[in-house]
Amino acid sequence: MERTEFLLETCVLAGKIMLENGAEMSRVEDTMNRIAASYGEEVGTSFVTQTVVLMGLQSTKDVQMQRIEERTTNLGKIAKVNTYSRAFAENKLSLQDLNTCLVILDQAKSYRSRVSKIISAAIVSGCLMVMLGGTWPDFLATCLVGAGGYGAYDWCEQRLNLKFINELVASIILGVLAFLCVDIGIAHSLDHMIIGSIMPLVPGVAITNAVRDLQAGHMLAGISRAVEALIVALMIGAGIAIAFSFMH
Amino acid sequence: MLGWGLKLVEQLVLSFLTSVGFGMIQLVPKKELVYSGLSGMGGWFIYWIALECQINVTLATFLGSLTIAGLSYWFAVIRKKPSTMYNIPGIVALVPGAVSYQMTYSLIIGRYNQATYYSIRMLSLAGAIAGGLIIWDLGLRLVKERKQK
Repeated sequence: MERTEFLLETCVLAGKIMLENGAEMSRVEDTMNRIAASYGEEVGTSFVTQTVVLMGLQSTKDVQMQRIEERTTNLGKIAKVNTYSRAFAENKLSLQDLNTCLVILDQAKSYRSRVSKIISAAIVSGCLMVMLGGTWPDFLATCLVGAGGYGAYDWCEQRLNLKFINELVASIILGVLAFLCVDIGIAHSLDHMIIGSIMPLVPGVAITNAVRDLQAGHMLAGISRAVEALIVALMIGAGIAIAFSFMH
Repeated sequence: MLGWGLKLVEQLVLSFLTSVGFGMIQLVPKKELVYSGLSGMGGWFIYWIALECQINVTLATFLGSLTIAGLSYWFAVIRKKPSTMYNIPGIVALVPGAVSYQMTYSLIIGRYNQATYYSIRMLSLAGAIAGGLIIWDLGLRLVKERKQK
């Protein structure tokens, strides 16, 4: 009895870490069921959406639940959970070790500095601006605007931490910056600059993942992810519109 | 012809950098960044060639995402890491992010015809990318089931 409870706790913890860091639903359920299956052939039944992880075993009546409060994207942590669960399935880790590893991983802070994220956002903005039809003379200005926008977003996330308002504030700042660049004369095409520099913020991947979830039969998760992505897109559109009406 | 070649090199380098940069933002481990970049580059290469051959955008996006999914499953097997680490940064250049912004922006400034156009375009692009990824999922599952028998 004790042992199955501990197994459930470990499975749910693995699921929680994966969901908090942006894994797809089918991957989360698959990993949790696989951990259960490699521990004495237990058959797990799991249900996950964006906000909750539920898991039970068919041999007992216990069900464990975890609430997911914050969601970010950290593909490194997903990869780690995957490695641990593989090692567990191959009997290289005991259940106790797996649980300890997961607890440590859950509390670990992200290991990349804010500066490197902002620089990457700058590169992404500049490159995508040229790829989506912009011209090379606007490259540096777009990098600057993209870095400014992402920096503002990161700052809001740390200080304000209000979902959706972060994106709104960031895109207002981004719009103002882009407008200033054109005004000073270091850039020419406002449209291409805006499209390039919002790319690190925009929920393109979330929209695609929503369609994937829906296809895999995770109806609740797919719909909630799609609605979240739409609200984010709406906030970004609103932010740019507000910035334009300021500056005109 | 030389101009075309230069343009191709430019697109390849830019798409590689984009995927690596997005991988950095999404905290892909450093050792895997090159592979994320390669999958993005492969996908954009196919997409770009398809557009040059006058194939329409949705179909070109579908072909691109099919390539990315294939590459990322291959990398997942040889690197023993989940395929998400390669396909999420890979699809970022194809994904309808800019279109979703154009849609909401047109909605807010009251250009409803344009908003409808962009929203349909967004759905078809997202569907095309998801379709490309899903076809690989299904294919691999079939192969696995056949092996188990």
